Amino acid sequence: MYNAFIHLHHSAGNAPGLLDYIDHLYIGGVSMREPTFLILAALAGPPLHGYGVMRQVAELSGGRVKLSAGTLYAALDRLTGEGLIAVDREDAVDGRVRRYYKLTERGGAALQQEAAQLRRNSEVAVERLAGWAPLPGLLGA
Amino acid sequence: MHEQSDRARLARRYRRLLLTYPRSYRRRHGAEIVTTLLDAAPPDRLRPSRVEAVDLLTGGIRFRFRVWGTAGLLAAIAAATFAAVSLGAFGSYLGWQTAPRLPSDAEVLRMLQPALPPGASAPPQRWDFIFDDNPQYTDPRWIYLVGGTDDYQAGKVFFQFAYPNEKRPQQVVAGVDEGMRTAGWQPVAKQMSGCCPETALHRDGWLVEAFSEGYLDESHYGLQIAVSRTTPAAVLPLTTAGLLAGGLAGWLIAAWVFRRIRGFSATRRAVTGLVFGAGLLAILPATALSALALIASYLAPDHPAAPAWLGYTFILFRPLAYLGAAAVVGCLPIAALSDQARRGPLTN
Repeated sequence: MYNAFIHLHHSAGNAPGLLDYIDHLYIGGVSMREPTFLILAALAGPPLHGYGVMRQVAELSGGRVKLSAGTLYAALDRLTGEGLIAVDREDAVDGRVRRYYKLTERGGAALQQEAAQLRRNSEVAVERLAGWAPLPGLLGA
Repeated sequence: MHEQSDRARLARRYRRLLLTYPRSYRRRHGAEIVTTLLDAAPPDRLRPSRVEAVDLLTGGIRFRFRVWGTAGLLAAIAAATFAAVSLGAFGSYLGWQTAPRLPSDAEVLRMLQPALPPGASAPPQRWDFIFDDNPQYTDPRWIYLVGGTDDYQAGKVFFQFAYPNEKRPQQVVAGVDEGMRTAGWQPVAKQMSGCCPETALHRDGWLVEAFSEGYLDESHYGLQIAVSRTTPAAVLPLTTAGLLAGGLAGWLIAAWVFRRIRGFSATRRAVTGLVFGAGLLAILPATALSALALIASYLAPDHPAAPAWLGYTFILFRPLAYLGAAAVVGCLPIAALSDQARRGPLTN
């Protein structure tokens, strides 16, 4: 899912252009969607079963992201196929089957990389917003 | 006790919603998905919520259409396209089976009375079929059935005349055209340049074509005036239905094959892919020609130059299509023989 990225150097002394604000450019691979990121983040702890993942994702997102069973298991299936998560164990209690999932090493590295990229992007945005003044009337005030 | 039976009933309802997922997926995940849904359901829930129902139904359908990777996507697009053209052509074939019988000799004489030269009285020739190999070919039938033909003809009732060179073919064809238009026939196509001018007009589901057949000898040229069918009303709807059904079926079958071969060894996957690809390559000429004929059938339904299934009758394309279809269909039982290791240890 993730390939190498190139680092573009900031130019020193000249007026800042667009490239000065692009610290990294991904080549190949696609950035994670939020539900995938949150599922991996939820599994960055003790192994969880399906309902446990749903609850943890809701908690991590402050109640904003509520996974449906169809979406959850499509993601779990895909992430297992990509080697980012794996089945830890299976239980059957009172006829109810629970399969517990855990983050793999590869999944941890992918999550770390995505988290670092998101942090960098947000730092860049915060820095830019510090010097930003909205155009008159832009905010409808 | 009552609560237990409510939960059991709810579980049964969830399991029913999972039926849109493929059996192999239900074997792997069905039990744990039901458990997750029951864990998430409030204690007083008796039936799945609307959101859950829509999510599970659409999730299952989406899963059946899912393909993986560039190879999977290309295979699905190719399979959908080939199946769409094939089934569209078959739909067209079925529609053409509703075509009326060709008019009798007397009826044809009445229709063509404005176009026939004065005194013409000889009975017409009849090709009493919908579409077939040119009856003037004398090869055994099996050669056409196996090898195809390069002269697939529409059924028609026609006259052939020999005209002296003094009267140019353009004049004669123009005269036929004018006579038929005066009698209320609507023009479809007209081409007056070159050696072989032609005109086509239609009325009430019949097509009249008049064209020069070129020089018969030093002093005469041939002219044919024919009555054949325009495209029956059922053809385009059945062709469209076939196109849509074929596209859907082709994609679903490709997605199914990809799901099955995911568990194969790399060698077995490669061999299956090669056989499938070779099959499609063999069917390609017939499909491409039929695709062109399909498009033409939408653009000119009143002047059906060639039926949509033409490619599958064409010489050499037909035997290649047989081989290609055998290869593609042959992949299906190979894909069906998946190993049992992918079945989950806990099954419902």
